[in-house]
Amino acid sequence: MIFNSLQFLLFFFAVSISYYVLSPKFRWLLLLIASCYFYMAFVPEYILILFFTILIDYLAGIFIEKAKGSNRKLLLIISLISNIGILAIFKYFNFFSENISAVYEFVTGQPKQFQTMDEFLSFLNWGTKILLPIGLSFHTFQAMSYTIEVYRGNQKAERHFGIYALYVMFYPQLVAGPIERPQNIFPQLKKHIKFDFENIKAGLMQMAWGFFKKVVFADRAGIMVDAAYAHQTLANQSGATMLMASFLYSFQIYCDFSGYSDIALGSAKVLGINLMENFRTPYFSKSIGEFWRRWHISLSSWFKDYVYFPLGGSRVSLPKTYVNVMIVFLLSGFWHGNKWNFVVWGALHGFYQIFGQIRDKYFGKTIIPQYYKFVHIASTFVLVMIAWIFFRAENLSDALLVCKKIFTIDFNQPLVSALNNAELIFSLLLIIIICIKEFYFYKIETTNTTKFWLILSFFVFFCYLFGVFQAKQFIYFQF
Amino acid sequence: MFKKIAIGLVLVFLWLSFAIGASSPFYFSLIRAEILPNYERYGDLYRFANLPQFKQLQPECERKYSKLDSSQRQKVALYTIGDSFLEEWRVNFRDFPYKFYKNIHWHDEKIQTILDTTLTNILVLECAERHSRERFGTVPVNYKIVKAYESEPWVPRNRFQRVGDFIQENWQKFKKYSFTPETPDHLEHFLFSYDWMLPLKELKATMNMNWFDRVNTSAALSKDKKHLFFYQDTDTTLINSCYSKLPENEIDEMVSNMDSTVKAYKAAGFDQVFISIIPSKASILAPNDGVYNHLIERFEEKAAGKFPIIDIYKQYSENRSKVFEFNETHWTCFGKNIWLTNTKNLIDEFIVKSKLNSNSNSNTNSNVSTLNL
Repeated sequence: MIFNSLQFLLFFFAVSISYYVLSPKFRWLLLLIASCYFYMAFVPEYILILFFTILIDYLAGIFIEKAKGSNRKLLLIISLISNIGILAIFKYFNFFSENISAVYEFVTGQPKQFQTMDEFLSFLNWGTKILLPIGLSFHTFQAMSYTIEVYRGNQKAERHFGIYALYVMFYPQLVAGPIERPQNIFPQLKKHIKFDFENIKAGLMQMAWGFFKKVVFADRAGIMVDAAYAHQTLANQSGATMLMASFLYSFQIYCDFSGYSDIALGSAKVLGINLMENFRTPYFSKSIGEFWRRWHISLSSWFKDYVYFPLGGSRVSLPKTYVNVMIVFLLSGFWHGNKWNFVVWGALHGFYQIFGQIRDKYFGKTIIPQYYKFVHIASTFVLVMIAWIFFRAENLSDALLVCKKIFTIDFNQPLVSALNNAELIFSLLLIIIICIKEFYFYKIETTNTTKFWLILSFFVFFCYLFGVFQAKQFIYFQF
Repeated sequence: MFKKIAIGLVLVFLWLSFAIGASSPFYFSLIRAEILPNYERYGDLYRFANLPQFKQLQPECERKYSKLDSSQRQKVALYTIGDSFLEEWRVNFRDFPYKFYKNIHWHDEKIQTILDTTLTNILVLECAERHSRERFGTVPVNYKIVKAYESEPWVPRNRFQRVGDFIQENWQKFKKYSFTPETPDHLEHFLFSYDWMLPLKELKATMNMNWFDRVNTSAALSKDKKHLFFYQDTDTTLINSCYSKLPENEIDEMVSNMDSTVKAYKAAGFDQVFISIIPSKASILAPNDGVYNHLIERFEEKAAGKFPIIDIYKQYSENRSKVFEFNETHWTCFGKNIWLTNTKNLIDEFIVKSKLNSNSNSNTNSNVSTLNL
């Protein structure tokens, strides 16, 4: 079930009201059933894969807690391997198969096609087509953070299977995060949450803002971006078209993903559960380092806590630190998708980060005067935008073609847009409005109830009138 | 107390709406009971586009043969394989002067049928132009002609297989009642298709068209903005569009497939099989909005002499403004009558011819007998 659908709105209000009507004893059960339904609305059968990982990690948590010495580590490794194994099968099997085939051909000079996942399934007579279970990377990472925290002794193993399953499956953050930590969620799931109208108002307002970003801007910008980046017609696009499309995409992906996060955080808040913040106005960052402290915070902090620090972080030699940074960003790129362009996207960010650290070390961190801040913000944005080209393009060669078109831009060639001039200007105006809102009014005040209803009604009306409703999924659902 | 009742009512409404959206059987039972308003009462294209200038209640067409009783009807059994043009409420038994009429959709496969040999059995394969490349791209088998209805052969199953079958069967039932990809459509219909809600939809559609030059993605405007089409008619990235390139060999393949289909159905027991392509609205009203591929003319030219065709393209082209509803992808009553008349004429012609043939055969036979005598 996608958030920007009528089905979700009905589901959300029905579940939320039932939640407060029900006795607190049974609320976990309602949320668990609702979350199962929410997930099954995509492809019902994939719930079995989710339950498999839930069962493994639930048992692993209990056994890790009981075990002593090297057994603890062994159990953790088994749990991690099973989680990563599922990811590898569903998400990376084809990637590895294609690349092994390419390497084989390069080394031996003879073409050989190793099996793809579809062929493998067909060989096993299990059907011929496989789809990536939605949000697999998100809930797998969330499940892994639980077993790691139990192993580290920061979290007690959860004995209540239903509560543990709900930790992984809690519907607002099930398919695209934020990737939560057990220490934040378990106590809230067990707490007797009282009806708090202030909380509900704040949650609804955050959801409304998320919907606004998604349906009014992101899906509108997507019309132009999709047309410009389409593989079949990419060669004919002008540099100006691709520059505008890439600029719009930078905001499309922000509004799409942060819009999703706002709806997730808002809908959880209505239920009295506070999820971790995932975005903090990332395009106002003055450096790439700062950008990653403001963009997809739950994933960045996951990599920091479970990969970067265990590798030694910055407490090792300088070259080793740079290697650690690069490993984290390459993994982050690979986490996003099973194509080389995602890996290049991660590598670019890793390179930016290392370059920034070298610059700071050898040229010193100068105190930036107020009037230079804009230059830093703009240059950071441009670097991020260039990296997004690799993220958006259908493959690596398309991404390089887009870069070539932009860097050799010929202003005599026309800007061809799937949006007419009025809509293009409207979209640019929306970007300004979103930036101003996020910079000056990060959270919309909801204490005054009359004002709250007025603003909420305005958002609902505006979203309806100017929303683009094409049942388009959120970009991050594919991960 | 009042607060509790209000919350209860809201909850019932929310869960009920949710169930109607999620469960196709539940939704269709409400439609059958006429609890929900007719979704397409102002035309299917208006339903998509919501542009007020294309809003008009759908007219009821006269059913020419509704008053005929069985004894007055011709001894013909007419079977059709059709699409939305032949949906029951558009075309049905009362539109034909025949003793028997049965229509199935192209999506239906292998419907077991016993032909009544005391009647002349005619089959018509009707297809909208936009779907003809898909449907004529293979040799379709929708009717399975049998002497007696056949049931699935019984295969012995062990205990595990039976458990597996039970799970599989109930899982499919559960999915059918709980999840449907049509949920957004069902909810839109149930919650927002009432007359008092349409002005808001029209406001949004008008703003989008006037300011942003866009209509709903399921519809498309002609270049002069006078006609509304189904998006498949004009989207040249799809093979459904009448402006998409159509190679000659594809036409040959379509003709050859239909030839095989006609032969197969005739061999199965049908006395005659007709093919009919209903032109797309864009082919008739805006052939110059793109490079028209002339699918129908090319198909009919290649098929000439191979199998009989119910041709309406010429008459449609001559009566451009009268054959399609302006708020619909489908025909007007006038356009429908052209098709019905042409179909009836061809069937009558066939019956006359076959009578003449059988008479001449029986004459020849009686001559032979006389000679023998």
